[in-house]
Amino acid sequence: MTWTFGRKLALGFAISVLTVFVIGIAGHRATTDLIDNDRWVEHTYQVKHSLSELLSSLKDVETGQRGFLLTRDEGFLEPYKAGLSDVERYFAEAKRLMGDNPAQQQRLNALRPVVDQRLALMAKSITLRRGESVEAFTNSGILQEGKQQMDDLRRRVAELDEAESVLLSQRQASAQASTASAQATIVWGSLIGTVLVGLAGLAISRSLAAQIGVTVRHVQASSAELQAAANQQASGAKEQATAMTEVTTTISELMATSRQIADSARRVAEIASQTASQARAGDSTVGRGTEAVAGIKRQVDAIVSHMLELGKKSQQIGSVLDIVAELAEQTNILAINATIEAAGAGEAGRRFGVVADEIRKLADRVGGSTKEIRGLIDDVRAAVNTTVMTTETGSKAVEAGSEQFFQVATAFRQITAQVSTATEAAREIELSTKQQATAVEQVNVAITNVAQASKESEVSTGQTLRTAVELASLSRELLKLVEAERSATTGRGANT
Amino acid sequence: MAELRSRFTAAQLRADFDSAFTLAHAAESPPQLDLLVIRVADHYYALDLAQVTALHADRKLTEAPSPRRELLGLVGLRGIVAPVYDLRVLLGYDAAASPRWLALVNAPAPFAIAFEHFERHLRVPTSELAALGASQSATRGSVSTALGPVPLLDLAAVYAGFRHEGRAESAPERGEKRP
Repeated sequence: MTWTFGRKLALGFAISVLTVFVIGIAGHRATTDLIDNDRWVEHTYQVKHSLSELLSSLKDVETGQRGFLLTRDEGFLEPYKAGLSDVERYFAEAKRLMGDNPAQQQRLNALRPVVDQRLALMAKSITLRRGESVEAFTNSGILQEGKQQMDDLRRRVAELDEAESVLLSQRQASAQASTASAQATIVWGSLIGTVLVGLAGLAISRSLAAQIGVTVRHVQASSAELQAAANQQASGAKEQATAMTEVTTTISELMATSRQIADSARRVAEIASQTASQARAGDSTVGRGTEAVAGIKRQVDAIVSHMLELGKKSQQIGSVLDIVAELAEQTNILAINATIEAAGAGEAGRRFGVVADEIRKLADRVGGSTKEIRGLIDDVRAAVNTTVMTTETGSKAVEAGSEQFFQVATAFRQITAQVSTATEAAREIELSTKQQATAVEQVNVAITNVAQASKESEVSTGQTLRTAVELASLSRELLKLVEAERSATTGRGANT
Repeated sequence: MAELRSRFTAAQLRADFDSAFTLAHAAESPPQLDLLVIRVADHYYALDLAQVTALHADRKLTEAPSPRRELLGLVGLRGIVAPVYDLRVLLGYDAAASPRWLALVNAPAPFAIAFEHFERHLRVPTSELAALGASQSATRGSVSTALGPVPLLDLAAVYAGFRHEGRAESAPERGEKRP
């Protein structure tokens, strides 16, 4: 079982306290006995004193009585009277002091009648002396009786005093024995207590030194770890402080950026509002453009209709021209055949040949003109067809343009709606960004506080590091002390 | 503009036609050739009008089965039934769609040649006729016209070829160089 420091120290102190308690009890008993014996010795001295004073008071009474008896001077009765009260007082004191001793009480009770007889005899003698002379009085024999009484009284007081002397001797011997016992108790108790306390202290010291040594090594190791941790913490606190500074700078930049965003959002909202009004104006313009395009489409349709009519007319002209061309061709054939026939008729057909030749020329030229006209008509028809196609393409383009205008108008309306939404969004962004800027300012304040706390933590960590270093130093010193104590204790144990 | 030009042309035609009858006949004129300019397989040829009896267009032909590819059929012209030969095949080109024009050749045994296009009648001085190489047996020469030099077909030589069986067989192969 491993005892704790408190239990070990409590055991040591308990041994010490018990030893002191035992020594104290023994000393107290010896001292009490010594005091009792001394009190009884003093009591005996008081009894002896009261007896001596009683006897002295009787002597004073007798002295005053003798003086009066010799001189009949009343002045000598003063000691007599004073002695009477002293006798009563010291007798009562002696009786009180001897209340615990029956033997002495018996002797004192036996003394009382003697005292009373002696006092009565002295009072009688005084009374007699007032009426008689000295000689008569002396001859009366009262003096002898008084002497006998006084001797008896002295003998009885001497017996009392002797008995007290015996008691005194006994009590003095007892007091001396108590004194010797007290001295022995104190000396031996102190010696034994010192030895016991020393042994307990030695045992506790060795035990505590062992445990404290282990603990101090642990404390030393923990101090080293604490120092390392404090170093890391100090480094971390410094890095944290640096990071907090950077964060503060970043937050400041973020705050500036938030303000710029809010300003930009406000400008966007303004631009979006202007865009919305312009989009509405564009929508109106597109509406007018749509109407204009519808008019163009109607005109183009009319052009297409006219062109188709022109194409039909051209086709009719071509049909007529085909007839003309065929006529011209037939005429030409006839003219050629007439020329052939005229040539075959010889001189008679010469004039006819001229006519036929002219007709052939005319037909030939008509045919050429017809070809030319056909070419022109073909060109016209091609142009008409091209124009119709182009116009139809244009009509389709106009329809597509109209559709595009419709889509553009729809797009403008959508743009207007979306720009309105964008305006609201931009305003919300502006408001949110302002709130964000406010929040960022609060965060900045908080970060500043955190940065301050980090600096304080850095300082505190430095203090912790110094404390850890001091704790490690103290641990080493304590370990040195404990090692020295153990080695000294081990050396003493080996010597013992 | 085209309308104005047509009016001008019509007035000029009328004036030219009328004025032709107001002039006196020329006493003597240099000898001239009356030519018919035709187009066969996109090539121009000239026919001597003196060798042609009649010119017709869009005549209905009566098909006549024959081993000869150039014979298109028979045609009746002024009471004369004449065979019709495809000039395109005779000139050595590939046969095409039925030609529209017919020229009745003045020969002892009348026959007609068919061709795709008749261009115009042309009268040129005989001095414009230039000789060609000896290999061009079906032509009489070359006539200089506004269309360029045009070979003048010798229809008599063509007729002679019909008459001679062997020569008919030695006609130019299709797709080869024309006369």
